[in-house]
Amino acid sequence: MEQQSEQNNQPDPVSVGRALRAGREAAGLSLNEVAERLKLSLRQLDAIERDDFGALPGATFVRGFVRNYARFLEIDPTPLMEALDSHFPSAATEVANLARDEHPEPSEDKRGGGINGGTWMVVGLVGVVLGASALWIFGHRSEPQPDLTPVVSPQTASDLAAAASVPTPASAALSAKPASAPLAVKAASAPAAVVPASAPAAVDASAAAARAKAKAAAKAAAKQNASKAVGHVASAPTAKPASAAGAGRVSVSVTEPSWVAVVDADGNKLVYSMVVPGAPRDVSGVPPLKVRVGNAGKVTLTYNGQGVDLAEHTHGTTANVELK
Amino acid sequence: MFRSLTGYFSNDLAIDLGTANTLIYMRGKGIVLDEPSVVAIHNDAPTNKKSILAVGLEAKKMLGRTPGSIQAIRPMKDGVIADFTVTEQMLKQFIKKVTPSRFFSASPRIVICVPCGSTQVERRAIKDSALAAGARRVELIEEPMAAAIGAGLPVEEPTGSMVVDIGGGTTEVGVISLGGVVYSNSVRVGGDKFDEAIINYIRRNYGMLIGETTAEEIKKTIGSAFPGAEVREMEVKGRNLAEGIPRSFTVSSNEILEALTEPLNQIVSAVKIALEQTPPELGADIAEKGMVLTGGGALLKDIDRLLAEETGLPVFVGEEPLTCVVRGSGKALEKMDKIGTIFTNVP
Repeated sequence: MEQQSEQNNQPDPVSVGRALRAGREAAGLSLNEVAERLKLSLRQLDAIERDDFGALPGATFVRGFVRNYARFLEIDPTPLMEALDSHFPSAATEVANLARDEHPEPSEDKRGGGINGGTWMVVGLVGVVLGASALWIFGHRSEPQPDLTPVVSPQTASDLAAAASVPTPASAALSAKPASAPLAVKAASAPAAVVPASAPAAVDASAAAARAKAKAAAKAAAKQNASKAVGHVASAPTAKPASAAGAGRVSVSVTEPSWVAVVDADGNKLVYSMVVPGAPRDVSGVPPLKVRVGNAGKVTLTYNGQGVDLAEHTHGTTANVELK
Repeated sequence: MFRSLTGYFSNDLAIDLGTANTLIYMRGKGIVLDEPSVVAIHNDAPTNKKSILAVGLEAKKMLGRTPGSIQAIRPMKDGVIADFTVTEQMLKQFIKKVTPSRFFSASPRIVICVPCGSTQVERRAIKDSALAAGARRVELIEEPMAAAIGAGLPVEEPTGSMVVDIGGGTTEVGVISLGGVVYSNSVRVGGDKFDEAIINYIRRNYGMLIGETTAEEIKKTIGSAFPGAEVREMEVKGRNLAEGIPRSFTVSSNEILEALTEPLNQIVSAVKIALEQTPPELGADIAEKGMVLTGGGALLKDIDRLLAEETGLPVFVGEEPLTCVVRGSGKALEKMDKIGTIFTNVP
C-alpha cells in the first residue's frame, strides 16, 4: 500500500505519514501538541504518521484528518490528498460536477450517444408495433372474405325478387328455403331497414300467414326505397341463391359511419369493419350471433327482420348484443 | 418491465432545493445545475401580468438592483418555501434547463431534500411544488442523511456518524447509524443569518448601511469563526446613514468575527445539544471519528476549529462541502429502486 502510493506519487516520493511527521518535526511540535489541537488521540496521530490508515475509521475520515493535520502544519495538503487518492478516494470525485466544470462537451457527447441509443430503441419498438398491427389487421381482413359471397347473395337475390316482383328467383330459392314468403319479406325489409320505421315485424312464421304481411311490407318498402332498391338491383352482379338454411340474418344500417362486428356461433366474423351510410350490411350465420356496435345511437339493427333495440344494450356508445 | 422502460426514458433527478443555491443531479450524469435560488419577476403594469424574467445566476445579479417593474425574489427562506408559486416556477425552469428535450421523455422521478426540522406542512409544500413542476414521483430525503451520504460517511454501517450541514437558511445536525437518522436537529441559522449579522453590526458600529450582496462578500473575504493569528482588512462601500451619502470604510476580520458570534453560538449550541442527546455507544463512535461539516457555511474560515475547540472532538470539513447534499441525494437516487428506507414520507 505504502509502496504503491509512493509509486503513484513520483514527484513527491515521500509518504503522507512521513511528510506530516517531517512537517511536525520541522515546526518543533510534539505529538501531544498536535493531538491537543486536532482533538485526535495519540493512537490515531501515530497511525497517520506510520501510514497505517487501516487503523482509522475510513476513507472520508483519513482524508479529513490528513487535511486538517496538513493545514495545521501549514503544509499544502494537495499533494498529500493526491497521494491518498488511490487508496482512499474522495467521495466528491465519485460524482461528476458538470455545472461547475464549464466544459460539459464530453458528457454532452456521451448524452448524444444515449439519445441515439434511445432513438434506435424507439424506432425499433415503433417498427415492431406497426408490423404486429399490420399483420393483425390483414389477418382479419382476409379472413371474412370467403364469407363475402354468401353474405351478399341473399340480399341481392331478394332485392331482385322484390324489385322485379317476379316469382321465378323466389321459386328458385324454394329449394333452399321452406317458403318463398319470408324471403320476399326479407327482401323487402333488407333495403327498407335504412328507414327503421318502415321495417315491420316479419317473422319466419308459416307461409300462409306471412304472405299478406309480406305483400304489405314489400309495398311499403318499395314505395320508400324504390329508387334505392332499383339501384341495388342494377348494381347487383350475378345473384346467387341463398344457401343458409336455418341461419340467423342480421341487417345493419347506419346514419353515421360506425364499427360493426358480427360473429356467428362458429366464430366466423361475418362483419368486421366500418359500416358507412348508404351501404347497409346484411349477413346471415349460425345463431347465436354476437353483435358489437360502436356509435350505437346511429345504427339500426334488425335480426331476422325484427328490429333490435340497441339502446338497452348500450354502454357509452358501444352496444353488445347476442342474437339467438 | 414497464418500470424499467419508463425509467429508461425519464431523466430522474435529485434536487437540493436550498435557500441560497439549488443544485440538480441527473441520474447517470452528475451534477448538472448549480445556481442561486433567485427568481426575477417582471410585473407588467397595465395588465398586471407577471412573467419570469430570469432565474438563477442571471436573476441573482439583479438582486437589489431592480427597477420598480422587476422584482428579484428568493423564494426559499429558512430552508423552506416562502413563496410557493415562485418556487414552483423556479423549479420548472431549472428542470427544463437540464432536461434535454426528447421525443419520448417520461416525466422524471425526483428526490428532493428537506430540512429535518421542517414541519409536515412545509414538506408537503416542497413535494407539491416538485409535482407541479412536472415530477412523476417525488421522494423526500432529510438533509442530514443526504449530506452524510454525500460526504462519504459510512451511513449503512452500525457506527455513529455525525454531520453538521450549514446551509444558507438552516443548520442541520444529524447523527446517523445503520442507514437511519438517530438524532437530528435543525436550527434556522445559516449563511443568510451571518450576512444579516454583518449588516446589523456595521449599521450599529459604523452607522453605514450595506446590502446583502456586500455583506456576503465581506463574509467570504474576511469572515472567520475563530480568532486567527493574522488580522485581515477589507474596504467596503455603503451608505452613511447620517449623511445619506455613499462612503467607503474599512472593516477588519476581528470585527466580523465579533459580528458573527451570535449566530455561530447558536450553531455551537445545536451541536452540543445533539451530542448530549446521542446514545452513548454512538457518542463513543463520534468521539473517535469526529464530525463532518458540509454546506456553504462550512467554508467560513476556521468554523471547524471553533467546533473542535467547543466540543473537544475532531472536526473536519467534507470535501466539496457545497455539493455534499446534492451528491448524497444523487447517490440515494441511484439506489432508489433497491433501498427505500432512507427516504422520509409525507402522509
